[in-house]
Amino acid sequence: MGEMGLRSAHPKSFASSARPSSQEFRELVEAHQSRVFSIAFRILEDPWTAEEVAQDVFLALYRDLDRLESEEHVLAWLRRVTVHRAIDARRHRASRVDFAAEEFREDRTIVASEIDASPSIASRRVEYLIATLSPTQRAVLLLRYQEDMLPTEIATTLAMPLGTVKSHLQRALKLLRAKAARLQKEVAHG
Amino acid sequence: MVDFKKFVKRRQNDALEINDPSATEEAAFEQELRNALRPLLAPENFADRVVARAQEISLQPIHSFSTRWPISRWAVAAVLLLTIASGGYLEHQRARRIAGEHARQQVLLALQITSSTLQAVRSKVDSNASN
Repeated sequence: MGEMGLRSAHPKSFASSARPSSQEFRELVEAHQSRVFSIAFRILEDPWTAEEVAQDVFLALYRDLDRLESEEHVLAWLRRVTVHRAIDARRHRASRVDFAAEEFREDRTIVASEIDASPSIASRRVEYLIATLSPTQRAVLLLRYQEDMLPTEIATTLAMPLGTVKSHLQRALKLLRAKAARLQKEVAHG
Repeated sequence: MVDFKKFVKRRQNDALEINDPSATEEAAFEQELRNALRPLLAPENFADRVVARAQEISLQPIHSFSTRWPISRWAVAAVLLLTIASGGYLEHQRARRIAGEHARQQVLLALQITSSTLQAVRSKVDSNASN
């Protein structure tokens, strides 16, 4: 069975007049739910909205599956649609709730006391730092380090010039390193 | 088979990292990012909820014109409205043209009657004068 297990008898083509059976669709969801939910959650930072977005992405896939031609096409589609929908949901939430507060959040100061001293502090620290990036920088970073995609693949997925992707990546990494160093100092000084 | 170009590139990178501590730091930071950004588990029973919603969708027509193409629905409504409006306008123009033609016929008939009456009067006057 392939990565998704869907239409394994016809791996080259998903195009079909009929929708997949419940079992086929379930296998597809189970194969990708973790990836889709993680992208949505890390852009939105809210598990409820992330689940909502992830569900909507899979339902949109269910409707559009007959237009997708291969497993790679499905994977690229899922990544692209999840990133766009999560960024849209975040913008919608920001404009609905409190635009000013959202802007402030982008430039928030890192307070060392906000980081707890759990065993996975390194991971928590990185996650916390990533949350301070802009949604687009975060999306590019997620595709690079969560999905292990090359900058050229990210550019194709997000329909963005390669130079822009590289610039987002470089700026995000520079920001993260600077913030990590500052955080390190604050933690060291108590 | 070993990709020679990749092999050379990797060795060059390794050499760079040995000579350049910042390159090692950078690689370590990127590794830290990869570790921190490992995919999370989806919420419990997530697939069940999605499949249940998908089943609701499959009860609807697959290629419902109105749901798949909401913009086209408006376009069709606009075209229909335009057709009805232009049909009404053309019908109005046709009725006006017929009425105009009818009036012209009436005027022509009246002129013919007047002309023949005048002709008859003139004939009578001429015959009286000759008598």
